[in-house]
Amino acid sequence: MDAIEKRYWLLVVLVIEGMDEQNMKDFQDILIRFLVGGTVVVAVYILAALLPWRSLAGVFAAFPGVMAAAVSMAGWREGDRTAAEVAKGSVIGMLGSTACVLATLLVLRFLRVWWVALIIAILIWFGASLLVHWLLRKFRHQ
Amino acid sequence: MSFTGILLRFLLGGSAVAASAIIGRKLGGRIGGIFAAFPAVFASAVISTTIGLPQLEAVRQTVSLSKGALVGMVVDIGCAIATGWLITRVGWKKGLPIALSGWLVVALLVFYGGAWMGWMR
Repeated sequence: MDAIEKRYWLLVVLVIEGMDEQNMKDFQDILIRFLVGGTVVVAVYILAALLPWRSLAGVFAAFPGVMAAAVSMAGWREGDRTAAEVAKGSVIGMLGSTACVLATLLVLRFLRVWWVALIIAILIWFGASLLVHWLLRKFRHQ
Repeated sequence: MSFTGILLRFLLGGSAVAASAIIGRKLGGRIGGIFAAFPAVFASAVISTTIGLPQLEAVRQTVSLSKGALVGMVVDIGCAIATGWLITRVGWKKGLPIALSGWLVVALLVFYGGAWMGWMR
């Protein structure tokens, strides 16, 4: 380990040690999301390269790994009740994500440029998520 | 498939998911909640598997991935509801693995159903 590398690790240790409890929880949460997100994307890439059915790799692109990470963190820190609430709350996000994927497929029927389709799908995801939140608020008020 | 390629894709997927969570927290409220649920894994998976491919092949790849992801995401909704229900009955340590195993079984069954009907390739 050279001097620059040692300094880098010392800085990392100092930053982590200087965190209060809430910051540490946030850091752990983001780190787990990072690891899960990276692992799922690599798994999809490897499966898409190796499997004869590319759609099967797509199934794993929707693996609820981030939800699982959020639920286990909530369960570990705050118990079953919060974990169950986190799981139920993630349904709204999943509805928006489903709209995004559906939009990608629909846009690609008319426009044969994948990255433009993805950008349009992300805009549709945002609109659909806003709509779901608005509908939920309306139903709660009623 | 190279180690650097895999590492770059790992960083892309991880950063996209972490960034959406950080932006969600910074924004807070309703908009923050929406950003926290950004389909970062799907977007990263599409980018990482199609980048560098010729246009027609990239479109085919995106369509195939999206068809599979659509199956996975519909099953995700059922999985999240089942996870919430199972946790209240058997706790998160048992409930979460049961729900994830159920997701795998149902997603694969739906995938094979779609493949049998010629919709999945």
